Amino acid sequence: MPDLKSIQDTYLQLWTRREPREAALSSAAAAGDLDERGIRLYASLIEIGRLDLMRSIYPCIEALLGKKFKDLVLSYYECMPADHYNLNKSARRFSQYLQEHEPKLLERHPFIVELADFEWVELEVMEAAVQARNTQVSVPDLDDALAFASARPVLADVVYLRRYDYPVMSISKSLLDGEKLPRRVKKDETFMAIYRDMQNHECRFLELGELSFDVLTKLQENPETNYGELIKYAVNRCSDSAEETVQEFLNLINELKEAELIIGDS
Amino acid sequence: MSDFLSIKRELPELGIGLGLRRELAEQTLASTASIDWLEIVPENYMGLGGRARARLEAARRDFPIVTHGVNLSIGSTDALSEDYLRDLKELLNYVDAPWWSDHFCFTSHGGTYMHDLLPVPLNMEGARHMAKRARQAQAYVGRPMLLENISYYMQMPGSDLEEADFLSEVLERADIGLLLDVNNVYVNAINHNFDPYRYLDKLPLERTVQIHIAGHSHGPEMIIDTHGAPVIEPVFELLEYVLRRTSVKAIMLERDQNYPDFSEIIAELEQIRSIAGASNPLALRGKSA
Repeated sequence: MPDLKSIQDTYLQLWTRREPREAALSSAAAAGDLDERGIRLYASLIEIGRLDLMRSIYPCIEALLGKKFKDLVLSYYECMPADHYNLNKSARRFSQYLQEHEPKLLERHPFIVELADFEWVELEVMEAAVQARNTQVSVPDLDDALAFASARPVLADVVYLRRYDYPVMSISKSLLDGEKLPRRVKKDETFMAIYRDMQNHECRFLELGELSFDVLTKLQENPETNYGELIKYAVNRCSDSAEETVQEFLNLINELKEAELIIGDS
Repeated sequence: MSDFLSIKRELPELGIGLGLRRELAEQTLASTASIDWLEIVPENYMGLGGRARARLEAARRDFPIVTHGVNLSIGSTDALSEDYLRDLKELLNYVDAPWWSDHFCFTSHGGTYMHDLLPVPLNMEGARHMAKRARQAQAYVGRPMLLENISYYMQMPGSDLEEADFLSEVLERADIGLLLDVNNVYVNAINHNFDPYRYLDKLPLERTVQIHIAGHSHGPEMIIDTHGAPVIEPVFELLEYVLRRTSVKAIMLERDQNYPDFSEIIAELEQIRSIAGASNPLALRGKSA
């Protein structure tokens, strides 16, 4: 009698991998020893669970690929099986899978990896665990230049910054609205902040200019950076006059506060 | 009396509960008058923040909470996952759960999670293996542990025990509690053609701490435990049968898909409460007592 481990080895294959399953079930000799109905039922239950999950996380990719989505999902799980107890996390390597294993899809839809990343990040932002911060958020006196320069902007608890080659936000909107994409989607560098609303925990998306993106990246890399240092950084990397850049920077800070991406200062 | 049965006597009587599901969370959390306690799927909260954590915090304020996991994978031949147990323990401490539960099954193998409740061979090797791991898991977590009978749709090779005998072996050897799912008993009895009452009589029902009750759906060849339909009368009858034979601490209605108007769920909870009250008035105090 086979031991427990070898039984589980065998049935993991039969339930989750299409080729070994079909090979085993089509073999007349083996088929007599296998409960085909039971194997197919469990395979189907596992597939349905995976497909439902991927549909909920990647609705744009599904809209893009239509009926081919199911096959893609099953291939993904065969290549990169779930390695975490959290069901949602089984979907996290989808963009990596597309990049590494689906060259034909990539050729046809060169934005697909970025689109998958964009869809995944939404879930990650909504669910990320964050450490409670001790930062006291305050409102500095903006008329006091010294106080402002030494204050530090505080970002929302969860912020992901992304630089995409394609306009994934508009691609995503078109797909969800059921619109047909152009035959060739043109590259259009896009800078995004994807972050968690502190009140309702929903995900918010903000398209940024390149300077804003760089300033936020610097701030995220070193949260101790104060406004004075950020202004200096912006002036150094911008070809406009210092006066214009400072004004642009101040406008940016106001916009980011209105969007609640910067939640205060410390 | 086993250690576990002594522990069971001290466990709180939670009453009639419902699973906390994202889709029904708002109505569930607002129904403190009809719902005594909540059950959560711990994997949906372990190590997560944001909306999941906020939902849990809201639930914890107004309800006792127990967890019902799906990925302990007690039947797997992989080593028990330390990460999983650590995160589970942390969550159980956070909600101060009086007990926790998982299933008589395996869900992962070779490091791969299938995220489905998969049957194990029903034999002594499997029972000893599962019991050993259950003892380890309960000792690590430090709170009373229950395992639930699953619905299964095929007999695994190497099976030479009846399911009830297998479960009894594990429960007694591990000295843990039973989470008895009466819908699963019904589904298995139909699919595998056995007498559900004989099955129940063979179980150590005195170890039952919690009961699950749910609806199921009809597939082409089998009935499937979907938690997506109302509870049917024969399943209520199984509940009544069990409650006449043992006292339990909690009964929970499972509804995970095909959600009806919330008033229908509340009505089912009331029906369960009524059966519990009539079958064993002292067994479950709950909110109506």
